[in-house]
Amino acid sequence: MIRSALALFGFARAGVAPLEDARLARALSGDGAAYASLVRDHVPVLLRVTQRVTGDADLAEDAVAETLAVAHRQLSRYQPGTSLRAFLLGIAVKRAHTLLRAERRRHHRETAAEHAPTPSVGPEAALRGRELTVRIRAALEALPRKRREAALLRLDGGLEHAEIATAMGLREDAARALVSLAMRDLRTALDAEQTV
Amino acid sequence: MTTGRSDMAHADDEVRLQSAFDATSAAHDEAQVARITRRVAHETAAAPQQRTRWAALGLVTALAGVAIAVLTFAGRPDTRVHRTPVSVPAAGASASLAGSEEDLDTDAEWSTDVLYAEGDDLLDSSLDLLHDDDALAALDDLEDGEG
Repeated sequence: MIRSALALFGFARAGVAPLEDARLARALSGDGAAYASLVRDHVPVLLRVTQRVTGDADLAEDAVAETLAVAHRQLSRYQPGTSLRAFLLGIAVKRAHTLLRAERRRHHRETAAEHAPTPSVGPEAALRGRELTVRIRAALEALPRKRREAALLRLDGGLEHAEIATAMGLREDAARALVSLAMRDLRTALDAEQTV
Repeated sequence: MTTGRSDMAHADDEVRLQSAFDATSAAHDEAQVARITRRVAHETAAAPQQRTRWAALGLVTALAGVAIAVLTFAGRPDTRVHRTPVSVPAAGASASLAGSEEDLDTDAEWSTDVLYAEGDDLLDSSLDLLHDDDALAALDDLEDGEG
């Protein structure tokens, strides 16, 4: 009975982990298609985070592509069985900020309002959405770096505290504290503007 | 109690912020996802080929290094001095005198060979000097100076 249960458990795990392990092994050996298939499901959330940071769809796309290239080079550091999404998001947040800083230095970046993503709703709601997007980005930029990263990983990345800790190289209680502080600061900043 | 209220307030903050973030997140663009995936597949497929090229270059360099080392040491003259310890019978050790004499003969032959060889080298060097105008001139200068 117990053996059957263990076998079932083993079988259940075998249904998921070995497939990812196999793709990971192929990706490490240089199979680009295997790597792309490994990370494809995470691309939307990476885009969401990088677009939040950059406020620009093209820049966000570049940030995601660079993130995945960096992640591929660092793939040997990834521990199979841990959150691949956290691994990728940890890199993505940093790459997006780096690209944004570079873009600002070149003075080619247009205003966030002109490039904010357009929700598929009516004109008034879209306007409100754009305004809120700009304010959220301003509030995020006002946060200290680690709090900003924690907020992005939590609210746009959808990561649990343990995953945020992995992504940021912190202990879980430190990640939890950072998220809490970031939430308080964001709330205060947005309440001050009466937007949320 | 205060902590409980604080936690609830934070949870409430997070829920409301999450709604605001969800409402303003980038719309899912499948074409963009597909474009990134293709780009990544292409870029990461090129990486191992590059690694293979570097590995091949490293291997060739290592082999060349080994070949140079072998050629260098193979062509090098053996300058080591082979010394055979000369066994000298201790005073009063007459019981093994016969065997010791044989050893001495062998060692003496070897030592003589070495001496002759070194003498030949010395003679050759001296003859070279006698045919070396500069050396002779230097010798003359020396003699003149002493005189």
